[in-house]
Amino acid sequence: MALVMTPIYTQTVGAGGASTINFNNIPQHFTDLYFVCNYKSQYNGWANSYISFNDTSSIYSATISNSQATNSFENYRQSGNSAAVNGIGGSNVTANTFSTTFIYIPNYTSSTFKQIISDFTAENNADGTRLGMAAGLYRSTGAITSASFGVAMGWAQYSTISLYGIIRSGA
Amino acid sequence: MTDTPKVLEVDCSTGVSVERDMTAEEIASMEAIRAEAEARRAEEEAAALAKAEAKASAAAKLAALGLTAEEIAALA
Repeated sequence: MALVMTPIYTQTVGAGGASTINFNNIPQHFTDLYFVCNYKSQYNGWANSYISFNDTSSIYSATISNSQATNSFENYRQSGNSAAVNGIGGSNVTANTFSTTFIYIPNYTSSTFKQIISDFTAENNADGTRLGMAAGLYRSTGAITSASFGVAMGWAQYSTISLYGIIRSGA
Repeated sequence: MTDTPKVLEVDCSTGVSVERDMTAEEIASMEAIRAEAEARRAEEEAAALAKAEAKASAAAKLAALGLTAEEIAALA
């Protein structure tokens, strides 16, 4: 299966931070979307971050499985007007260290519900790396045209989110 | 006076990126996320504390049975 991955846009948070990062008018000619996130929150602690699309009514759900050093947490199930995609660090983690998350959304223009699949790693010298995976569902039959990223207290300066479009030939 | 939270936003069809003030609805959503983070953090801290206490209690009971510290550590 041939695969073509095209960068669409990268957003970088400037001085003062940003509460939300939005991508609007997402092109509709790809088969899948892929977000590469390198970010940290301005919250003083570990926190889930969230993604939402065109519709922010309560049609999202997600399950996160994650562990940190010797701690293994129970699966965290969540539902609401956005889907949790990870557990990341904020001002509590090592300075100048950012969490990484990859989010894959197959068939984002289809008329069926959309999967949200992510994996993440967050480094912290003080109490260990946190890593995990998440699976979510956006229960909408409309094509995804916009995406919004939120986290407690907003995103810290130099956080980046890159959006790629994927074309799966034969898909 | 506090600054209104900002949204970093790009129009992917034009590549034009702007920074704008959050709407009241967006601020409410952000507050809900913060509240959920606080609740989740409290849950995790309570679970970690309970686990540590159970581990210490188990180790003490094993020691009372005559296991050495090395033997207890080997079971962890």
